[in-house]
Amino acid sequence: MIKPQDMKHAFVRAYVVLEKYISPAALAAIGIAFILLIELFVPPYIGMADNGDFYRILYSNGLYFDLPDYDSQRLGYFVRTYGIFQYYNENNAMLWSSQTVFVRLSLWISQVLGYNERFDIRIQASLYSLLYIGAVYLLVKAATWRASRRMGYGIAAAAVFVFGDIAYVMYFNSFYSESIMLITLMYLFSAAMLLYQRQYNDYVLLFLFGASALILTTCKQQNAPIGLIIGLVAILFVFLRRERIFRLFASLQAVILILTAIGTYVLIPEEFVNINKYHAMTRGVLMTADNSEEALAFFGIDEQFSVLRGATYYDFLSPIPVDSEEMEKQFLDKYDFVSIARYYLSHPDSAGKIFETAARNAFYNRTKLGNYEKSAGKPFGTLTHAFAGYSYLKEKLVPKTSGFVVIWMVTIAGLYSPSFYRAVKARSLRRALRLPVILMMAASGLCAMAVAVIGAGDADLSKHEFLFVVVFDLVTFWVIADCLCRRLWGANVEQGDSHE
Amino acid sequence: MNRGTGIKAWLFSVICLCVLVFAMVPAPVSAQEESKQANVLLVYDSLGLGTSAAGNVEALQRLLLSFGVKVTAIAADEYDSGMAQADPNHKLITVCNTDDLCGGITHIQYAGDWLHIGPVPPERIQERLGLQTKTIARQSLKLMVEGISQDVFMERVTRISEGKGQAFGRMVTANDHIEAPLGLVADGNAYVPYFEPGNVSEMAIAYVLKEWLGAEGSGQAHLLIRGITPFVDLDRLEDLSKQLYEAGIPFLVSVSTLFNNMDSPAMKRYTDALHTVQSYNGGILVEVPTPVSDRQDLEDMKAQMDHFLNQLFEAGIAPLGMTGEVRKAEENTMREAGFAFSDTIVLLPNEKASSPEQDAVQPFPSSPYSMLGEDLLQVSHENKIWPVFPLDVVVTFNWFESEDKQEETVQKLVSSWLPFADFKSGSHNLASSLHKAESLHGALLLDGQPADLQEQAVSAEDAVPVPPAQAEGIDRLFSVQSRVLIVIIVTTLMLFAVFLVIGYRMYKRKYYNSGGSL
Repeated sequence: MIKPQDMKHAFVRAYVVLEKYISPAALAAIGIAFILLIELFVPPYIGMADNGDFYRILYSNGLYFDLPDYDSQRLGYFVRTYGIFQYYNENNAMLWSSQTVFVRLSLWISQVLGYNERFDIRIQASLYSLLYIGAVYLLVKAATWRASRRMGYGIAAAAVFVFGDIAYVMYFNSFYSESIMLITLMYLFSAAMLLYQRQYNDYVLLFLFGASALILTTCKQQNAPIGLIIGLVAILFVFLRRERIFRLFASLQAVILILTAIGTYVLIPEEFVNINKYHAMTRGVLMTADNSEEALAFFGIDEQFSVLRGATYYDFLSPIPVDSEEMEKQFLDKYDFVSIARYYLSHPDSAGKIFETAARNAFYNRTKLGNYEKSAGKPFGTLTHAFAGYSYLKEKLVPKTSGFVVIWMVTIAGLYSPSFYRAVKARSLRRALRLPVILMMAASGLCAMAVAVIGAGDADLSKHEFLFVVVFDLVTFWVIADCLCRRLWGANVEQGDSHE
Repeated sequence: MNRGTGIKAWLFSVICLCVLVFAMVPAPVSAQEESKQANVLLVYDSLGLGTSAAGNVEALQRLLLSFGVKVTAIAADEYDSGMAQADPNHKLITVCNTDDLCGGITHIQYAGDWLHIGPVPPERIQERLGLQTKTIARQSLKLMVEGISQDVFMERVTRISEGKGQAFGRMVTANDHIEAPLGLVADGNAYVPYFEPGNVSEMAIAYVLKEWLGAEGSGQAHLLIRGITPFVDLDRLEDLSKQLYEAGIPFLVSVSTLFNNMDSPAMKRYTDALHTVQSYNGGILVEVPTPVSDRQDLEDMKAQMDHFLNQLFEAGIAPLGMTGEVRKAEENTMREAGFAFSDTIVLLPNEKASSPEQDAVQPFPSSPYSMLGEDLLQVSHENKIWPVFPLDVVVTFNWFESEDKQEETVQKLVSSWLPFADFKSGSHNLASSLHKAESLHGALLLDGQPADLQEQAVSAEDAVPVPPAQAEGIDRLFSVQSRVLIVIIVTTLMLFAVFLVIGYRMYKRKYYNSGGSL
């Protein structure tokens, strides 16, 4: 029989070993790797059902739906395997996206491994998993900077709890670009904070920041405004060091980021997908307008279309098919992203309502898309509840109002303002970097929220507001870590700097 | 004989008499009809997609259903020898659309009534009809039936050069003026060398089928305007109704359903327009919608359809039937949730070509055959006289894209002399959970009362006020409260930051002033 003292000794020994050989960042990386392994690579595999968007990325990259009953599995079941075109692929790139790089790389790995006819999405999931483990490692490395070992492990455990949540990792077994947004946003934030902390080589971190920003901006057209925000903050990096070569690299990077954002923005009108466009009007403008017929008149649309108020693209029955020529000519062709944005700007009441709706949905991490394969024997659209503790808590505890979003932003800005003020006064740009990075993240989140509601109304908001969800989690996690490690006011940093 | 024996004998004779009476009383009508109902097995080699024959199998299916026949359509490679039963109620139609694929059909052994369509007639048909055929290629032909004719150019077609039986229609070669029948029928055997939907051969095969099936009576033509949705130009729809009314053309419109925002002014305008259509002697048919997927509960669809029909009834509109693609008639669930409201169904061609289901499709009590108006107006007719149609026909036009097109079509209809009949002169019924519409001998009844055929006087805007900018009492109060709170919190936080900085500076100054010792 094991005695209590023996157990205590065993724990102590284990802790000593842990402390000696495994850093908090490594512990978090191991924890995340464990969750990824269980959820994505051990049956029943967890993934996400197709909402109808997959075909755009699949067909242009040499993959196709090879299941005869694929259509019936859409929205409800995760599909693990896809066919690989064996002949010339005549499908032009339907979507210009950095996601293509990852899909093609996964496809190449699949073919190198000998899987030439069928593509198993787990290959892509393993690629994303490796990148994600690295991202979590860097994040925790930055978050536990100058923290005690014990505190560091606590933060690492919190990181595993938050970022190992199924709401995040399930995206890896799907063709949604959200998985890339999650990974790149985490690298971007970590790189910026590590630059601020001067933990690694500045050139390496600058490159990591730039590459992440570039991929993030181009992975989804809606990210263009976010790219612009990041590009503006990237200008600050030019003044981090005095070396000419560093300034040259940093300037070049900022210019490329801004140009990329503008380039991506230019592509938006052409790729404003009909599903989202439909929802932008029926679930956005029409639902928030006091008089939907007047709202339609703003866009020059026949007032009869007010009967579509609240309709969704996936409605079981519709007066006319949503993909019909009539709908295209009389309704969808009459407006675009810009005209909807203009409408909200000129109708503050509607804008307020839609922002309230956006805020209400901004804290739901989960989507309604099924997580299991059909072969798992679960009913259509079943969601997994394993490793979903954080999503559940967040959904229950966070106040879902626009007021909370504003308070959260102001609080964050307020908390970092004193240290920023001191850093500016001390003419230390590096120490002043933290507030702009935090604000960059918050502004990106808000921007994503606005783009989501302007671009698709209140439909599928938990997916469209994904970037805000990640930003909220990353920044809140960071603030709590700063509080726990007493870095909030920057004294710790100054102390550290004086030692260097 | 004692008394007991007498009673027994009396009882015995009463029972015998009863048995005799029961044996002689005819079986219930429905059961009798069921046993007499013709079943047709339709075997095709291919759907001929991408060729001019595309759609002929589907058109046959619709024609047979319009003749009240139960149809089972099956591809030749799925055919099993036991499928075609040789009894008086079972018949076989074989369709050969591609010469190379006809092998599976020509080898069928069948002793019952048999109609073959296309080249390569089976041996039995050849024998019974004494058939001799020839193939002609790249020729202009004149197709004629019952006084209507049309010139067509054929890449390749089979011509009957010899045969016996009742002939239907003629095909005449333009070069050498050789005549051949478009169809032959004799003793349950029939042969049609050519059938493509959209030209005179479509009408010819209707006559052949009527004879071959032994159908009786004749049909009338009705005009149907399809694609009336809440989004069409409703003023133009009212103008069209007026134009047709003034031209003396009774007509039908097929209207799409609406399931949301039923109380909106837009819905009111829609029902007002339909009421106006009705007031100009227009009949209303309701189009069964196409669900976006088959996963949802069809009970839900039935309830939504019922709700929409009730809305129409309450607006004084009396719909008389349903319309829908023929593939919907193949699905029991769609029949139940969509078509079951009425006994009159107009089956329309499928929007997208699809293989017919293998299950037998039951006919509807009344199902006029739909033909495209654009095709029918292309044919020439002698002395402006149209033949008597072999079955009830609905001549369909899609909603016109422009006013010019509408004007042009109305003019064509008027000058065509096509005699359109009033749909209300037939017996049609449609019932929702709350109301019932019926027509008989030209009268339109709504819940047993004559329907109101006067134009609606009240405009949609007057009837349903557009909701004004709502003074959302409590909501607005909370909204104001929320904004005030946000301003207070923001101001406090900013003050907090300012005090923090001031405090820090004071502390630092104090520290410096004290010379480093506190």
